[in-house]
Amino acid sequence: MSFNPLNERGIPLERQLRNWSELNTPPYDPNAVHPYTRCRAIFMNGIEVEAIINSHQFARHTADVGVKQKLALVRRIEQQQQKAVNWLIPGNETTIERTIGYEQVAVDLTSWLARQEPDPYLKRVYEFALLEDFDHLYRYANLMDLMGDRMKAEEITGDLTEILPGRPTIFEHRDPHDDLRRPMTLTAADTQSVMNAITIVAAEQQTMNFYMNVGNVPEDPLARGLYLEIAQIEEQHVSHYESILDPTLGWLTNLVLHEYNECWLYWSCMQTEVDNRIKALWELHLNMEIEHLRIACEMLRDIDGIEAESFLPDAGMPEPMTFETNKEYVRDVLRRSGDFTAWDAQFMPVTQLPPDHRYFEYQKVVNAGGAPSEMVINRHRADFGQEYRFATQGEHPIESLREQGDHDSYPYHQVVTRELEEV
Amino acid sequence: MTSELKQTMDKATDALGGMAGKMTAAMTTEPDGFVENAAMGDMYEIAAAGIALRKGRSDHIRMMARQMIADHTTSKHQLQAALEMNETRGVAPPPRELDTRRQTMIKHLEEAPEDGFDTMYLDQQVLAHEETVTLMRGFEEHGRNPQLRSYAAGTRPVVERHLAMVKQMRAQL
Repeated sequence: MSFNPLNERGIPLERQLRNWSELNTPPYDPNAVHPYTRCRAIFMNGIEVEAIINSHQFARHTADVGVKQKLALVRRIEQQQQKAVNWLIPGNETTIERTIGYEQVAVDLTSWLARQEPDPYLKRVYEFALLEDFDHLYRYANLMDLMGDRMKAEEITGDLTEILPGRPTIFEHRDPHDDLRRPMTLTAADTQSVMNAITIVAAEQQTMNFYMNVGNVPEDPLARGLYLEIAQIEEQHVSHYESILDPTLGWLTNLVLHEYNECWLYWSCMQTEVDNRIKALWELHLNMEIEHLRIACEMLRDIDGIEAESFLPDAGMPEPMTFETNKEYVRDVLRRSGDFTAWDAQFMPVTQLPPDHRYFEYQKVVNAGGAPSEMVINRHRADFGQEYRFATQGEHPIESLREQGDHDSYPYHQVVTRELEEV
Repeated sequence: MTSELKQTMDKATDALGGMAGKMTAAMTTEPDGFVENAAMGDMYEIAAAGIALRKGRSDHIRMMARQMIADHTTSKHQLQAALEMNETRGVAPPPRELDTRRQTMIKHLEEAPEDGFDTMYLDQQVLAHEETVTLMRGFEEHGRNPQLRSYAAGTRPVVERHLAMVKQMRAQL
């Protein structure tokens, strides 16, 4: 079931402009929508936002008026696409409900990418941040309960994603040096690796932007605190993921890769969508992106003298990116690396950090006075007599992270408590 | 042997070794040789900086040593990460110990007299960084592995700045 957009013909650009009512897409019904349809809407909005930001950055760095014109023409359509996609999300879905959707995207997207990732180092990059986004889902789910939302988080995520502690958010705060990884090279990397990376950067960037902008909407100080704390982790994640991109690519090569990525992802959504109305939107946008890709390839050939076929696979992309349940996989990653931290480009158990590592000074400064991500759980326990968790596959795989577990014996807790007494 | 004479001979040994190392670095285009040299360079820098933290006479030397430890630990971690990737499949793992030449340099630092340490350390730093810059520049241009060329491209500017800094500090002594 492979797909090569280079072999397809899209809609001519002059026929892609739509009127306001065409863009004002009727939103899905939040009480009836499939969780993964919501995920696809959130996800593709992020993909379109990245396409737009990338195009703007390119336009700021080229003096070529012809290129600027083509970028502006395509970008106008990308902006229309972004509206049509993002307007699928209804106004009566609250910010916290939407946030749960964002974190389900993070967990199940990252899991799929990690499972498909052919490179062992890059797989570790995905698995590392996966456990952090998994924890964010749990923290926000507890907040949702405290806010008295009409729904429980599991009604948003369905039976598809568990809601349990991952790597606790309080321990995720690291010195900026320790979010920078080793980049792949376009020359030698598998195309799947390249596409995975462009995809995750867009998704995490959109999550970061979302929390940066809506985190101040709640009135409750604890809710505001949780959003700003997790928004800072999303900044870490964007730095972490963007550092695996090949930084040496020319702007036009990068543009081709972005458009190819959009084609692959709209095709993926079209293949896996269960809502026929929304499936038709994915198909329409795919046919637009095929033309955007053709334009980008033409510019690359005419200006840089490079054929896109020289770095894109003959057979196209083998599999659609698929939102599906990853419960056992996430549990496996937890078992293997729940106590991992990062030091520069390497991942290791937190117990291997030397006592004077910059991690401890950073933790001491940002967590002074307490972390909202811990406070939200404490408050839920105080108000409801227990935490909010949604587990379908048994007890938490890490004993010290079970609700009744010995939390003090969790390696992170032990190491940080010990070192912060010394700092 | 007088202390002064020993220092002079140690400096000459280091300089000869540095020249030879730089010539080898300039010709390194094969991945295994590059990894060996790059890893050795980082190991030496971290060990030498550890001694400088103990024996360095000035705050500037100690501050520089801390930066060397941080930056060469970063480049060590970047190299380790590169070697975990499919792009470097088949490349030999890095050495775990210093070679004889760098062990000798470390020994010279350990044995340097208190009033001669800073000079010896900076002399070695100039030699070592000239060798590393040569290695990184050469491999970035001509190396036979894209991922390791990428690593060299990322590390080269950092070690070039190190070289400029150590030359300036040496000139001010």
